[in-house]
Parts: sequence; structure tokens; C-alpha cells
Amino acid sequence: MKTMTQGLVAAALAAVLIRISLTGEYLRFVQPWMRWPLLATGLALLLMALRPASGYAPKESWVPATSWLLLLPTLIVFSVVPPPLGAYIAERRPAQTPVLDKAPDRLPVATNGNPVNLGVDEFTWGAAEPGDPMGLKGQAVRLEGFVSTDEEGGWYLTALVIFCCAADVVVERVKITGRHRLAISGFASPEPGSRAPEPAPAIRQRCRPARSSRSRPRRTRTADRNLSFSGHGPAQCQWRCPSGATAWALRSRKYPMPRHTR
Amino acid sequence: MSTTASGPRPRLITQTSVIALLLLVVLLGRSWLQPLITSESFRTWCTMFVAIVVQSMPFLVGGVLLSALMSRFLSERLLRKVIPGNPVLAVPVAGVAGFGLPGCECAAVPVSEGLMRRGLAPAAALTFLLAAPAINPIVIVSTAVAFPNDHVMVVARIAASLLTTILVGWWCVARGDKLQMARRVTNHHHNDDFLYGALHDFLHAGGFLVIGAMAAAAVNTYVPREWVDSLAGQAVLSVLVLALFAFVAALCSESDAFVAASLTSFSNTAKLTFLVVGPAMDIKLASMESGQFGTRFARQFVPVVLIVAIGSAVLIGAILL
Repeated sequence: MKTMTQGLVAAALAAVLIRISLTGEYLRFVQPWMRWPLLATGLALLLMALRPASGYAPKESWVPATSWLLLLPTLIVFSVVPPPLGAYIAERRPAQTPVLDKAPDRLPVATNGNPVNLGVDEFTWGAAEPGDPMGLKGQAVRLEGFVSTDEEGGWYLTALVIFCCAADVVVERVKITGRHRLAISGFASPEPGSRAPEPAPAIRQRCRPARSSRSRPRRTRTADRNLSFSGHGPAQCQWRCPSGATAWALRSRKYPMPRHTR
Repeated sequence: MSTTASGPRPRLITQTSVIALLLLVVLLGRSWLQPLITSESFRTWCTMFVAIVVQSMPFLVGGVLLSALMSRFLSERLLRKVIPGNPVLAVPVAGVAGFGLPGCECAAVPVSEGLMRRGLAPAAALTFLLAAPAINPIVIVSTAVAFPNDHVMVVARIAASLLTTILVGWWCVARGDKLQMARRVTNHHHNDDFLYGALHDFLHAGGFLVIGAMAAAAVNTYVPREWVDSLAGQAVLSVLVLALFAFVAALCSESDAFVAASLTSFSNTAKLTFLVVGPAMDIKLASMESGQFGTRFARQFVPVVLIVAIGSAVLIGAILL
């Protein structure tokens, strides 16, 4: 690799780091606190990358052929545009709840009549804890997450928790059974495998029904009905709102993302 | 752009301009390229791969900058004052010094290479390489949070990791020259320039990091977790399975405690093995080490670290857990 190319490869990677930290895309991959370290890293790398362009000719510039692989993350970010993790990984990893034995930071208690807003982790903690400290029994609960299925056709409200980076994502899910009151917003794709366009920029769209003909817009409110999505079996009704679109909409109002640990 | 061409007049088609063109085409053509890639599993792999790379970048860049700073400012005299000259004694000191560098192994590889460049005994530098990701304040806190009712696990983790690093360090002392370490460090560092030196180190280590990240992302995407869980029952097998899982999944040491805690069907000793093996040796680290110190060295070092780490974890697990 020529010295100038070395600079170019590093500069492209630096551009990726700066870009994802500024646009908020970094939340698909790592924890929120990583934003400024990533930006600083990008700038430092850019500074290093500009050195060959300044006319500096090193005495030794040989690098192994493996260095070419540093182009791969850049090319993937620009071409594939890695989506936030979603149902695919949730369905392949068994639920690993409860992850933390300690109580959540806040302890919402349901009051009569009003649905209580809970994170999936809070709900699973409250439901597992003896003595029902959240007062969940018989209460309306409002959970946010995305839908995933299992092989038996059961379906779940699922949240993904990132501890360090997306590779260590842990699945938390709540099985939905019986008859429920269900509020759904988002869009479903008509057949499994077909991909609804990503609601980009998701920040503004808040996962409104997509306009594309490939995906059927849905904004449904079903009351006291069996959960079959009015004619669609769960297997057919894959929710393609990329991971947790409804989850983020209320949680951070900013970026589509799996949930992160505190 | 084309000034690097060696011909009499600047050429238009050079390596640099071809790569620049490729990047430009991909950047401009993304709206056409994106719909072509429909496989959910591949897209998930991409997310995981980019995540691992992005997560390690601050540590790798920080590591090469720290290493470049050390080769400029850290005098051999100071190093000799702090670290005992006798390698046998230097090893435990270097192991304890690992507490001071809170970062992942991606930082530790260039830093330990920089220490060697400054004349630290290779055995001590390698001990530091093993200790830094395994025992530092962040790892200890995250382990304590992940095992809230089980503080023995924190103690066991520190003890077993320290034991591993020191034993491997002494093994390196005993092996001496037979380690056949490719001392790129001695014949390469003529690059006095601070920024270029750092860039050069970054490119050297980065490619191997990418290889490791590709493999780890594939494991995390394509290997169903049930396979791992299904082997929890057997005492011996479960330890080996989690050791293997720690090696191939290559999670960072700050988060692996949470994953270990979620493997509820496994015994505590097996979980401890997972926590001790992961930071000491994984697929990403093995790839980086073979790039930095040579394949022949890695072929000896990697299995020894794995065996010692598993042994220490089982031993400490039998005593404490």
C-alpha cells in the first residue's frame, strides 16, 4: 500500500467515525457515552491520515496486506448502511431475562385505571418480583418494543439491550398471550422477507405508515380481540419497523435504537 | 493525488486514485446498492461487524497514540527504575500495572509493543498485555454490577486473571528466545515522525482487528445461542464450551460480565472461565498478536494462554466458588 493510499484509507475510516457520531447513527452500534470519544477518535485519525498528504516521505512505509481490510467497515457503512438490530437477532437468541437482579432505577407503581408506561426490563423485573411491588396485577400496562415471533407461532414484545456494543446485545421479551387490548402504530410488511423501506429519517417520521406500495400502511387499534392482526397470522405479519421504532419514539424521541444500559 | 507515481510525469491512474474512485462510487451509488442487499442475516452481520470495529476504534487509536508518546517521552531509565530488571520479578509488577490502563485489548497490543520498543523485557510486556484488559477498575465495577449478590465472583475473577497473567509471564521468561517473536519492533521503528508513526502502527494492527471482528460478528450472528446453552449440564464440557465461546465471541471485557450473568444455566466455575479466558485471549486478540509479533509466536502463545486461563479459572473456582 502506497503511503498516500494509507492516508486515504485512514481518512475514509475517520470520516465514518465522525459521520456516525454526528448523525447519531452510532447508537446502532455502541453506548450513548461513546459519542464524544468517537468524534475525538475520528479527528485524531484524520490528523494522522493527513500526514502523508503533507508531503512527508517516511523511510519505511510497508504495511501488511491485511491493512486493506480497513476499507471494509467504510464500504459497509456507506453501501449496506447497517440497520439497527431487530427481530432477526431477537428470534435467534433466546430471551435472557432477567439480566440484572437489581431493581430498576425508578419504580413506577400502577394506579387504578391509568395504564402505566414501562420498559420491557422494568416490566419483567416487576412481574418476576414476589409481592408485586409495582402493583401490576390486573393493571393496564403500556410496553414499548418491537414484535418478534418464535417457531411455535407465539409472539413477543421484545427489547434489545446493548451493554457495550451491538455484538453483545441481550434480548428481553414478554410473551403476549390471550386477549388483550392492543395499540399498534408502525407499519407491517405484507409478506415475510419483504423489507419495508427504513423510515428515514426516522426522527421525523416516527414510523408513520410508509407510503411505499410494497408495505401496507397500518395504524390499527384492536380492542379485546385475539391477536391475529386482523387476518394476518403472526408469521406473516413481521414487523419491519426497524428495531424498536416504537420503543425509541417515546423513549428518546431522537434515534431508532435498541435500548442501552444505564 | 498522483504525486506518488514514480514515472517521469505524474500518472493519473495510481493506487490512491483507484481507491478514491471506489469510495466515491460506493458513496454516490448507495441508494442503488442498498436495495440489492436484502438478506436479513447479512445485514445483521454488518451491524455487528461495524459495531465491534467502531467500539474498538477509540481504544486502538488511543493505544497507538499512547505507544507513540511512549517511544518519544518514556525514557528507558525511568522504565528501569519502576520495573525491576530481573524479568522474573518484573512479571508480577507488570501484571499489577495492568490495573492502570482501563481499556480493551485493542489498546493493550500497541502499548505493550511500545513498551518492548523501550527496552522492557518481552515477558513483562506480554504480562501487561494480558493484565490490562482483564483487571482494571471498569471491569471490576461492571462485574460487581452484573453479579450483585455474588461479590465472590469479582474476587475470583481478579485472582484467576492475575494468576493467569503471571503464570504466562513466567512461561515467557522460561521460553526466552524460543518464543521466536518477530521483532518488528527492533527493525522497523525508523519513523521518527510522531503522526506517521502512529498511522503506521494503526494500519498494522487495524487490519488484524478487522479480521477478528469479522469472525466474532459471524459467531454472534449465525451461531444460535441454544447450542451453547444445551451443553450447560455437563461439568467438564460446560467449562470448555464457555471457554471456547469466550474465545470466538470476542466480547469486550467491560461487557462480558453481563453476558456471563445471563448464561444462567451454567455453573459458577464455567462462568468464571468465560470471564478469565475472554480478556486474556480471543479471536480478535489472537489475530492482532499474530500480526504484531509473528505467526510463529502466536502459535505458541495463544494455546498456552488458553490452557493457563482455563486452568487458573478452574482452580480458583474450586477454591472460592
